Amino acid sequence: MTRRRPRLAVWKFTSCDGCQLSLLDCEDELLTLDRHIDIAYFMEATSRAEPGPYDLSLVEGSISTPEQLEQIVRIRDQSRVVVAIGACATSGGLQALRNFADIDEMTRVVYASPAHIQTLSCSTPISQHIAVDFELQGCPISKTQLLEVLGAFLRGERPVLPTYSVCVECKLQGVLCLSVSQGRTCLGPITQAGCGALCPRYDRGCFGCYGPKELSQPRALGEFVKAQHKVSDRDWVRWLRSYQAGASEFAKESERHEKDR
Amino acid sequence: MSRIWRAELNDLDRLIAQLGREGFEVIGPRVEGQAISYGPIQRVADLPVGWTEEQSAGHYRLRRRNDQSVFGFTVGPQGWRRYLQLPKESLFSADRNHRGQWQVQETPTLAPKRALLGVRSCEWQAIKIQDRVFERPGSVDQPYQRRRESLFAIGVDCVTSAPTCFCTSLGGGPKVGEGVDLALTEVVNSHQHFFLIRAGTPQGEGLLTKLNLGVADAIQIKEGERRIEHTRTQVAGHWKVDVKRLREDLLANWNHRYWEELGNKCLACANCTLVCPTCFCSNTVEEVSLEGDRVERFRQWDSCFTADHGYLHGGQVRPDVKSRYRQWLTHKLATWQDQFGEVGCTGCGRCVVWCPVGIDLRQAVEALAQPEGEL
Ligand code: SF4
Ligand code: SF4
Ligand code: SF4
Ligand code: SF4
Repeated sequence: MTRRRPRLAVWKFTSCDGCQLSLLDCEDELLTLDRHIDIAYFMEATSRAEPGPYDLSLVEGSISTPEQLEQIVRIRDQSRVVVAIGACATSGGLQALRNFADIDEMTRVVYASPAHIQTLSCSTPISQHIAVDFELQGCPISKTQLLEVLGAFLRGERPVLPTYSVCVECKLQGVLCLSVSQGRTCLGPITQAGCGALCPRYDRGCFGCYGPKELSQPRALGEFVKAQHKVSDRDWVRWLRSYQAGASEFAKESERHEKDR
Repeated sequence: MSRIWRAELNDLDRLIAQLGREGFEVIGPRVEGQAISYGPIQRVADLPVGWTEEQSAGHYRLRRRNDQSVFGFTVGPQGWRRYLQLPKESLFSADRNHRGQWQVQETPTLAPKRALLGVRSCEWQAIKIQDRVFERPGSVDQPYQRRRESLFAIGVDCVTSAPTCFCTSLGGGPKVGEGVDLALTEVVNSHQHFFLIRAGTPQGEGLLTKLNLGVADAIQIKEGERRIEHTRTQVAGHWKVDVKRLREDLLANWNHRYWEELGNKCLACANCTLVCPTCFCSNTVEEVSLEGDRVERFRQWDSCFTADHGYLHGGQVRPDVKSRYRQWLTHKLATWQDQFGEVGCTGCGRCVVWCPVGIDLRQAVEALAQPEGEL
């Protein structure tokens, strides 16, 4: 019995391509994947583009231009399942730093002829514009987690991925807590697991690239590190404003400091 | 009372070597990066000679001592639990053959012969608490039991304490309790450095015989006792609590306003439960191949602070941080008593020290025992 292979499309919005690359990076699994999925649209891999409808759309990147506002709606219309992949698609990405600044001033500083630039004042996640079936966090996403998403899709199941903190990954592996043992800033306790505690394993505090975990409480962590580790308000805001600046929990906490000032 | 022997530093080396000859992998404390953690030990020099630590809520720093004590510290980031209840353990795997039939293979249990060197009173008590959880008549956890049977435990009495230690308020410490194979008391002063050593099991007795040690004299024994008593007084000052009242106070104050405050402070990061030597929760996770023709089932540490733990039959029973913190605290101190007839806490202080925002369980309990109006 041969079944029609589900059709996959991979889309790019405002992003660095790193998350799409994670799919190409699945070298050992690509052939197996090809047996079960028909890659119908994937510009980074092939210029052969087949029209929709698609069974699964992986969407990378944030919405940051007026055309993208329309394009994302078209994609939703043509796709049975939409999965947002990576920090850009799930929280606006690094480029969401613009959300905290004056966009006109920024374009004037950066571009020689700002008049040619058509952009939105905010960089926003896909879920702000269309219904998204699943969000895969991370900057970039983990290849193993992506395979779990694809495998679950093929098996008709919901992906099973952790929503707990990076700390759990440290503890499972016996990685020493940098914050308690050295007073170093680490966003691990408010960040979602998935990276395998990559940074703490290499003696660096987590900077939150996997985004807020379930029930993330940046405010509580902020109060502690400011009082006990003498982190300044300005530095705390910088910690929160990197790869996941636009994630609502992180943004709310960083904005609280600006309001206070 | 069984006899107390006297051992010198080099006798401790002989003890380690003898355990090695008898096929034990010796695990003990070592300075590893910025903390004293447990790992394989070959000789006394591998132990944290001359080191100690400074501990308080959310704070741990490695420090030099001004003597050459081998065990002049208390407890580090993680206990022995990871050697008995493995953080992640494969249970079985299943493969589907070309005819669509599943073949199931049980994963062999890892249970190497291990000797734990330097088990503190609070930690030994924790191992016994976990024994009652995992070796409960009628629901024995086989892998745990196998590992437990392969264990040789060498306790160390505490002759120093951290401000976060409160073992004495929960019926333990600072002297290691019954049932350890061997127990050491370290005596160090300006002119001497030796260990008092006693056996608690026939196996420990047997090992001591092979070492041919001399018997300790009354003065030496007194030196050891004096240090333990001094530590006991110290620790007793760190917290006093009536276990029975504790249960009543916590359960009677289920809707106390202070839970709200704890819910705002706590990160639900799960560190406290994962460093706790008695917590036993696990989750089963499956790793499925892309094509769904191979699956491996693992058991992995879990915590009541994760979403999965409270997800039952399609709904979340603990949807906020407050309810998760409440689950943790009341289980440890109150409902554990109903479940196992004892408290689930031994006062090791790890949950206090390794909480990244320094939440102190003792303070939480005290606040919850206050009438709401007086907070
Ligand atoms: S530790 Fe944090 S910053 Fe580092 S990879 Fe993981 S989530 Fe990203
Ligand atoms: S609850 Fe805290 S003090 Fe008690 S045994 Fe667990 S980690 Fe130690
Ligand atoms: S306190 Fe939480 S993690 Fe620990 S044993 Fe109880 S329910 Fe499990
Ligand atoms: S009490 Fe502390 S260690 Fe435990 S979950 Fe809350 S913040 Fe984390």
